[in-house]
Amino acid sequence: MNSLLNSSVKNNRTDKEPAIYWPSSSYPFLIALILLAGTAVILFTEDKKLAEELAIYAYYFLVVGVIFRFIEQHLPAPKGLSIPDRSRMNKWLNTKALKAMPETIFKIILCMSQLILKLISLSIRKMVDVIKWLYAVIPQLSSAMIKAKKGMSDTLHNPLGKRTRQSGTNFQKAIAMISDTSRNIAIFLSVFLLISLVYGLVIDWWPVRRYLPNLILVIIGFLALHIFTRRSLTG
Amino acid sequence: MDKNKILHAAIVIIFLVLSFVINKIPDGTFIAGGDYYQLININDNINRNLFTWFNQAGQGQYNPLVVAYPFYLIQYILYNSGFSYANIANTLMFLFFIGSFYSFYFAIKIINANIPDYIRILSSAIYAINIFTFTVLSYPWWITHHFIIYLFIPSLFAFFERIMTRFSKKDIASFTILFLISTMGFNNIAFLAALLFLQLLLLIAFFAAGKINLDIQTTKKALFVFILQLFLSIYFILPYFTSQLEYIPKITGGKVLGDIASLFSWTSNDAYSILSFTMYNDKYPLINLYSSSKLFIAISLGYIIFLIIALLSQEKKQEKNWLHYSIVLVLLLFLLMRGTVPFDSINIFLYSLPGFNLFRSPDKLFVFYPFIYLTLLSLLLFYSKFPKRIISCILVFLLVIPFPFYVGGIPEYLSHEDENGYRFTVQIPPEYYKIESIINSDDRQLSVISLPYSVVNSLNWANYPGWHFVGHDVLHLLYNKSYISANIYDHPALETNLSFKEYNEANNVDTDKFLGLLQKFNGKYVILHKDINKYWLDNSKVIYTTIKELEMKNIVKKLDENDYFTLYELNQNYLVPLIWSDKNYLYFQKNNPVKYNLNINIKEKTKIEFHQAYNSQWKLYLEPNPDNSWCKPIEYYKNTRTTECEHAQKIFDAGDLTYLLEKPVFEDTHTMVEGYANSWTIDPEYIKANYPKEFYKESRDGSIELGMVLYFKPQSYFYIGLIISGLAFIWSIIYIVRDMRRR
Repeated sequence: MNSLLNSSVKNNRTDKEPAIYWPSSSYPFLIALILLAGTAVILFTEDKKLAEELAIYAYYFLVVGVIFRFIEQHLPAPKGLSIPDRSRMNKWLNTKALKAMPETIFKIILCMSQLILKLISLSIRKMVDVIKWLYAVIPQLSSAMIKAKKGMSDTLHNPLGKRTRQSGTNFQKAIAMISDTSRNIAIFLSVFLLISLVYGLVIDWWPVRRYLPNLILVIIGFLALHIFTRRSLTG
Repeated sequence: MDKNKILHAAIVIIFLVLSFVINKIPDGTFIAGGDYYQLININDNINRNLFTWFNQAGQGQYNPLVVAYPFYLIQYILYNSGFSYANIANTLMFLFFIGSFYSFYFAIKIINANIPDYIRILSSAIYAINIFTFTVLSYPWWITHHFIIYLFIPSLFAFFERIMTRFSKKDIASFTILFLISTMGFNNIAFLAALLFLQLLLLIAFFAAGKINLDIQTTKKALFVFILQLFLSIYFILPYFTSQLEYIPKITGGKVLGDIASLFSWTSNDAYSILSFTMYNDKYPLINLYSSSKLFIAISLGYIIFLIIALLSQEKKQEKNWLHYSIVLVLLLFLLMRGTVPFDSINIFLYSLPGFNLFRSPDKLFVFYPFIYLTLLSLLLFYSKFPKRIISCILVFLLVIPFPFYVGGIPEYLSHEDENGYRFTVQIPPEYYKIESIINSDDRQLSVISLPYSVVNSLNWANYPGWHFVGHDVLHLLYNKSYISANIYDHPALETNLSFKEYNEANNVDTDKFLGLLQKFNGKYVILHKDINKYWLDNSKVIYTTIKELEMKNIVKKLDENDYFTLYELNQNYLVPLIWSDKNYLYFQKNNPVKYNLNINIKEKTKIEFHQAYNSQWKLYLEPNPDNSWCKPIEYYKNTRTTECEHAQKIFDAGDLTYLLEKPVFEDTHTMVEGYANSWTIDPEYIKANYPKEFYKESRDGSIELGMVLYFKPQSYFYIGLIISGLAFIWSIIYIVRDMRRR
């Protein structure tokens, strides 16, 4: 057993410069951190109401960060890329397609985070507003997707064709995964809806009645997301 | 000498200093308040937790503390070793520190064996010393059984994870032993439900994060672990559910939603407080006795801030090692937000769901929060790119956040008077001890009635501002009679009426009606308080006047009077026994709180009343060869023709197990009377028609003599459960010993 005073390096770490590991999910975590720092400062100055709001938003971003980290974990790693290998990574970062990628991804992430935040904060009581908002957001998301696709098709013609094609394929895979996930969630929730209906019919409507409209709305939302992403994939 | 041994010795010394020096509870104090209190007269009160029925409220109710018996046994041993109440409190504090430290220390090694010792030690220290544990220790929780579960949570989760990933017989045996020991923390069934719920959540997170593959084999393992835990809990689950049959529909069928909304309105906390381990908004750091600066509230956010910093400082992709805990943490945080806007509407719905409403009070889920948080933090720091010194600094900083621990904050907070003058270190006035010799001079099953109704904070609680006490009335611990408080519902579980409150509200002096109320609860003594809230002193005049009139009529007699109360005794001719039959000669003998022997002579259909709170599990069993030779009379109640016999004081009788199979009699006539008590209608013709002659003795006048046992059946479920759990425990011990020898 190592002692507290033992100065051995942990986790097989060497004295080399630490490797870069900054996935997209770090942004929500960073925002959560900034918001929490703000909460601490504001608490010190006694504006509890604002501090409370910031803490709630910090929590939202923590949730978003965890969700994104979860998605990232399931995304396939770009082929031929070893993250700690800085020289290869720099090459990869210099590709034209990848330069265009962050902006597109950022837009999509932004839209999706807004969507999630809206769904959480307004979910139950303001569903009608959410539907209106969805109508407004979907074209935005659609245009971001179209741009992303355009960017990908552009990069097919550049001199670094092979590698960028690889990146474009990865992006399409990500969209396909979102599409599949949303479909699966919709199916899963539909099964739950069915069980709820049976429960309501056989035992008691009272608990079912409280969430049924919202559940249907959420299923429609995920179906819409699935149809939309599917269409953008098939072109 | 080995450095590790020195280090562990130092930790023990630090906890000793924290418990017995820095946070020493002043001698002569007694810790009580809210729903929790230290035991008084430990030798007299220890046996009560061997039975599934007890008289915390004089009417009696199911006793969930049977599982916590080992905890009170420790107190019993300490008390008989010469420890004062204050020293017992300090020892329990030390055990809390050391228990939670080592539980986490070994658990984190099981969860990830690569985590270096310095992270393990510092994280374990934070598990023992954090804002949540300060909340627990600055309230009378820790002196009772309530948060024992905190000590076992890390080990239970660690073994759960190990079984799910490795699944060996040795692990199952170890888990069985650990789980059975930990059941002393499941006095409240909600803690068990919360444990299973969070294990399930963690399991789903395992699957989601890819830590464990979701396949048939894993599903079987999971199912096995959950069934095993339920099986090992059978000795308290079975008596609990059978005794709550009347109560469960009340919870699930009523206006629970409204109740939860109102409960949330005063028990929910701000989001920033929850992120910084603060369970209630009247505890540290929101209430700081040392400084009015808000800096300490801001610093408390360090817990979550450093967690996010650790999330951002990952060296490489290692999500598979910690992502499942982060998923559980964010979900748990969502549930802990409870009634906090904007989480309120979803949470009110969730907490209203059948089963989930067990977690209504915040402690049920909050107790798991430090473990989930610290496990995640330890893993994140281990996989972070921070050097050792930075990690140490972060953990030391988190250790210092609850600084009141290091400056004697526990006794300071316990003895701090709130705005109404209440505190948790109290001294029961010696006048109450003085009357012990009067009340406890005989063993008759009669009651002490505490008057008048004087609820200020919460129903079921007593307020004695004269000696700074508010909470469940601790005076019941002093006397050997049932203690009926006017502040408690006639039927404590079914919440039927508040008879003495209603009498007070009627504002009409009616001595007959009042005498009826005293007799309804088998009153022998009346403690008429003067040390209650002034509002109720001024608004209970009708009670004082009624008792004065009863005194003038020689129905009650004043025995003692002082600044705190007046003690009255009911005239012998008006006493009503615990068990009686209106027309017939009846003999009864108490064996223990769950068993009474009866002998009755009846000629026609007659009622038997048993003045303990109605529960369908109180059963009457017919005994062969009726005989009352066992009766050594201690009192004959002339007005009811009942003879109370000397108590048998039997703790266990192997014959009680036969009640599991034996068919009770007159089940269909078992009803609630007097708004709380049990009643049966005994029909001699039915006995003659359905039972052989050995079960009754017939007299020339046609009357028959019956021998019966009145028994609280969940006690036999408890025994059979103990046998099952005991066998599992012995099997596990044998397996582990054999395994060790083989090695």
